Amino acid sequence: MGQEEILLNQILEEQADMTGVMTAVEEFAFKKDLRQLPQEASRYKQLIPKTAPGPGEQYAFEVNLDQCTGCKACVTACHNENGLDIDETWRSVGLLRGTTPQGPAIQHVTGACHHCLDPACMNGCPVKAYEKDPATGVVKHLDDQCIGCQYCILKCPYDVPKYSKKKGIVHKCDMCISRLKAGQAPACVRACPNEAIRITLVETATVRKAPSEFVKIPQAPHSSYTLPTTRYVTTKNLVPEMSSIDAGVFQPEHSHMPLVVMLVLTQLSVGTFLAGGVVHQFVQEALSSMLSAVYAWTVLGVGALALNSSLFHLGRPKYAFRAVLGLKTSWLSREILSFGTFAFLAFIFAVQTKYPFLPPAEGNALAYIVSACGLFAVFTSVMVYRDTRRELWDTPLTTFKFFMTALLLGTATVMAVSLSACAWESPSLTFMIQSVGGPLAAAMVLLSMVKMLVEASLFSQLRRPGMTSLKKSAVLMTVHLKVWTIQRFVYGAIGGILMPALFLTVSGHLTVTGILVWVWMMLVALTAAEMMERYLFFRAVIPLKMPQ
Amino acid sequence: MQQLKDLIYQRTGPLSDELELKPSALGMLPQRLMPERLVRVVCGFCSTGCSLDVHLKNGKAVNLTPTHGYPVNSGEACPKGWEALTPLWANDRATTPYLRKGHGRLEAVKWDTALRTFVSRFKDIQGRWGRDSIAFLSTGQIPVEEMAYLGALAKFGMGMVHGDGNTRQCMATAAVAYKQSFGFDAPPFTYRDFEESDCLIFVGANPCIAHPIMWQRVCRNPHRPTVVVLDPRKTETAMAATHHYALKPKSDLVLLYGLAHVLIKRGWIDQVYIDRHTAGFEEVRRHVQEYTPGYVSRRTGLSAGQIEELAGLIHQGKRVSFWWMVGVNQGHEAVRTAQAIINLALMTGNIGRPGTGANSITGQCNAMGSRLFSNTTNLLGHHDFQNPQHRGRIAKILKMDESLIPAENSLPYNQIIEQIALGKIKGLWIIATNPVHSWIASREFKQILKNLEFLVVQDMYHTSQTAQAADLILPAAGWGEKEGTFINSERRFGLLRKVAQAPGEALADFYIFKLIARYWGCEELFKEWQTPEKVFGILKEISRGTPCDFTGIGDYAMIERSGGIQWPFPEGASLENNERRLFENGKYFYPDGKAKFLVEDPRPAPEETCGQFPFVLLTGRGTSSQWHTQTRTGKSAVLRKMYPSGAYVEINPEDACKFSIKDGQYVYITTRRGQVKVRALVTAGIQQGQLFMPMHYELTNHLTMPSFDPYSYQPSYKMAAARLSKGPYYA
Repeated sequence: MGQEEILLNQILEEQADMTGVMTAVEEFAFKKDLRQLPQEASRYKQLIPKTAPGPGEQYAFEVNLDQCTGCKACVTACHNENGLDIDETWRSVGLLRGTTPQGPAIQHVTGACHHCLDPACMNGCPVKAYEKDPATGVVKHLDDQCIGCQYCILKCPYDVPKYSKKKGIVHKCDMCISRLKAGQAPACVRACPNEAIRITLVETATVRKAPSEFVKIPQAPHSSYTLPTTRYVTTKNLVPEMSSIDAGVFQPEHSHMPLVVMLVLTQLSVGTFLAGGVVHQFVQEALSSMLSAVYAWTVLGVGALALNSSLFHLGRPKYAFRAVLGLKTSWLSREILSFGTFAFLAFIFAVQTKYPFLPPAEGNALAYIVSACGLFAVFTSVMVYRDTRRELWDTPLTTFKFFMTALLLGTATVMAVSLSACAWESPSLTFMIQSVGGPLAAAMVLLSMVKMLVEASLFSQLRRPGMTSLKKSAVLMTVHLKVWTIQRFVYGAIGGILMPALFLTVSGHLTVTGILVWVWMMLVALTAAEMMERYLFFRAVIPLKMPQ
Repeated sequence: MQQLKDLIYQRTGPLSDELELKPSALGMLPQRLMPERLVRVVCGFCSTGCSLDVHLKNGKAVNLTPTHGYPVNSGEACPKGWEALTPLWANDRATTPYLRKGHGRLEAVKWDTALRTFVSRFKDIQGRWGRDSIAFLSTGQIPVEEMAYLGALAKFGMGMVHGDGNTRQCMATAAVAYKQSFGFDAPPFTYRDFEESDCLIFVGANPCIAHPIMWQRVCRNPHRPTVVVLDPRKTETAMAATHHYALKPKSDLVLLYGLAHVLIKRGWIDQVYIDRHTAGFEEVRRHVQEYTPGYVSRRTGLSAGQIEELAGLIHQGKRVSFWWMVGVNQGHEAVRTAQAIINLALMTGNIGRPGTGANSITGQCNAMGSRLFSNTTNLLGHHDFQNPQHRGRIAKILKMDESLIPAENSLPYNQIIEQIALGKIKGLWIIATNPVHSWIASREFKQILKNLEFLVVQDMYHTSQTAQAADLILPAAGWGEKEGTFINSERRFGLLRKVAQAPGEALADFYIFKLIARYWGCEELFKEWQTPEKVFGILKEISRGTPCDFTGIGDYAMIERSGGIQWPFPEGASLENNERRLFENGKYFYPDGKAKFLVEDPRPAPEETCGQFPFVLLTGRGTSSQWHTQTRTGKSAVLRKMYPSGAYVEINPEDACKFSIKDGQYVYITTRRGQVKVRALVTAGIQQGQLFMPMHYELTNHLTMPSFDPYSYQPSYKMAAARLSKGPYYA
């Protein structure tokens, strides 16, 4: 070994040697008592209330916007001092720009959880993983109770809860309540070089009386239904026309594929039950009971598949059973329970079709009960999304789309399975094609046309002047998600209009196999189209949030 | 039973525990990250020089808290400081040397191979083309000791003549301005002046974003100060100020002369101070005579009333401080502009007292160290290569042959690049800087690099734009993985400590220099340069008797114990006050003890707007979470969340309307150097006819105009003529 290599090895060793750290030049022994800390600690104390909240009061953030210059130290301090995941942040700082009466202006806005009086996250949580601390008013997330459904993320109008993929649960700001209880300032408060953030006590009655005085920020969502408690103070005149930094930026949202599959298939399942119930009225006794069983087992199979798919959406699926706890306030709980009940009743009904244990009248009654339960379940799905108040979702269009999907796919499924079940008996197949296939195909054409036309009405937003949330959704669908939008309508037209319209004509020229291939292709194309419709439903939505 | 209950409704458990906070001396901290030990380290991003307490657990750095009670930052930090550890953990760290092989790809090689190649290639080039055919580009990001080692090794050991640093891009102007005005490159202030001033005037500075912790000191000012911002843009600081004067780009020199005109005309000057402590005032009086408010108004776009008002604010202030940053430093007549600020402070006697001063805020964490010890423009310790006495003194202290010290000055950065373009410089060694991104007119620069026979880049990451252009990459340990000292804006030495293990075979720059000395065969010269602290001792000796004399600093431990120490601190001095300013006795560093007034006629910018290029393109800092070319800040997911991921340009709403450009739409910005496609950010914060692009995006310097101040050779990043056109709408 040459002289050089000896030095090289020695240096590599020196570089790797960390003993120097352990024998620090100067030891900074931990001081046991925080009161020994220099003046900063007492400075921070000025920024939190001297007393705990009394009756009718709660802790709240107060932000002095005049002091917030956008350094964003609060975001990183919160991240570090709370030991968050490497990419996780609970606070964010937005930037507004515009022209105010005082001239051109920019304004940074720091925000975290607003610790609402009526928190949407808490109300939406299906497992009661949120609680509003009666003593402090802090909206606290119970990490160990969370199943990772992320519905709170959709529900919060301020985009506060954050999903940790690593842990499969949601995290959120708890106002550093353990620090407050120890008489210390929260991480963001202590880290603001300009003392822009402080903790105050607010009277809940004041918040209820004048909700618009809280989170009074241009472009921030309306605060009247969750009753946030953060007060933003400023001497400037922030005009509503100020726009956030991302106003002109278009970013599709997460697709939530398990939910896409779950929604479309549950609706298909319910629709099949309904359509099957109608169809079997019109066929002979012998066929009727056979078909009835086929429908029932199809409903059950697809329903099970759908519910299974929804589990993939959960961060911690093994605790999915907790999801009934939130029944009192959460549409998600109600959805899960309704579909669970629907699946259970459909199972009973399926057994009944195979091994009738109920007299016909009760059997019929059961069918009505299952139908009602299915319809209610679809309604709860609608409400899960409408309750988020996101503009694209909270419209009658969502109600319309979900029920129409049920009818359309139900019709297509009944058509496919009926013909398949009857395929091996030529008289009944002919009968089915003539008396059932025709009307079903006609219904599909009609339903598809109406549904797609109504859906396309969103594109009229594109002609509006200015930029609105709905227009943004329309832009996303026609520009960023164009490929999906085109496919949605092409597949919808093929499976829902073209193929059913030609069905009666071509069925005369096709073999049995050909006919079956035709109807199943129709169903596949239509289901794919509906999946894409739902995919766009998730991706083109504009979430409510603080200005970015 | 409890288990069953937990299964259904679990209020606490392992997941909650992970974020549960427990009491510690630093306040409540997560149990999981509870530190066993703290190591105090000065931050390695900007020149504020904040102190950070790094938390160690099981010998590993796991977290950090800004140091309480440190005279600079007193418990606070900006996001870069809070996230200082994260860039160390990036997975694109260079963990081994890389050599470009015959087929053009960079391949991992052993250190021994890398060093042998380094030596043989550079010696070969020098053998064929002369010793000045290789050069180096240094940095403001490495400690003083490493910087000095690099400069000494390159010039005394390897025989290079030319070397410069990236500090040329940010601070050269201030250094030259101070040197000419005060006789030494001596920023006079201490941060306490932010708190003690009753009128603060910021020229071309946006401390809210660029130096948030300095702004903190302004916020702590108890005197309800007048805060004035001179900036074409409505910046964060302009918003927070009491007065904002949105002058035309690069009209600052005219405005400053105009202010001098009003102050002199109204007799708002301190004649006693001028007579006792300055020279050359009569020339100023003559020179500014023609800068009447009317004339200045036409040139700056401000009204005559505004100019009178501003002069009045300066007059009314009892303790007026002037602060400038790269808005001044990066200009085609930057040195004279900086001196016009110095002139105002001198003529009004606003210097040498609490809350006053003509104060240049520095950029990088060790720009001030570079100004003293990089051995590039100046011989070590602000000595002069051309002065035989200085060469003799340094040779004696370093115990080496005086003939090893070049008797000629280094070429500045831009001329080194010219020499590469001309084929005169054939080998280049770049340390801890990313000029392919940051140099002005960077596309041309990248092209010029191809003229080199051998390019070595020494960096933490093998992925930086410049590293990717290298023939040889030397993997460097970063901040926190080595020792040394930084000097901050207020002349304070702060200590850098090793708190984390460097990945793979990455080595501290200090070690790399040591190895190169050995492989080159000049290690004899550096016999005493064993450790950074030993080198610190040598540098102390060099400083003895000079204005920056810090021979009174015993050792590293003393720096750590004292909360940093400002120069000057000569032997025998005691540290009664750890926040000291210069010139309290009115003595400047010229032999006659007097400061010099310097003035010169403004010159037109080298690239004025015209019909073809009607917009002025400005550049500057984007957000507080971005640092320069983002080589490091881009590695933190948290910091990345705090700024737009793609390049953008700020456009005034009127201009946007004229070109029917929508907010968020893509636009093309064209200058004589090229064209880029970026998003439009429509904001009234930028004036009509102006465009602003943050410097952190690579595209920005595709457009900038390569012009340079004639004294400091600092590039003028803030003025290029540009054209705007509409691009695709959303996509």
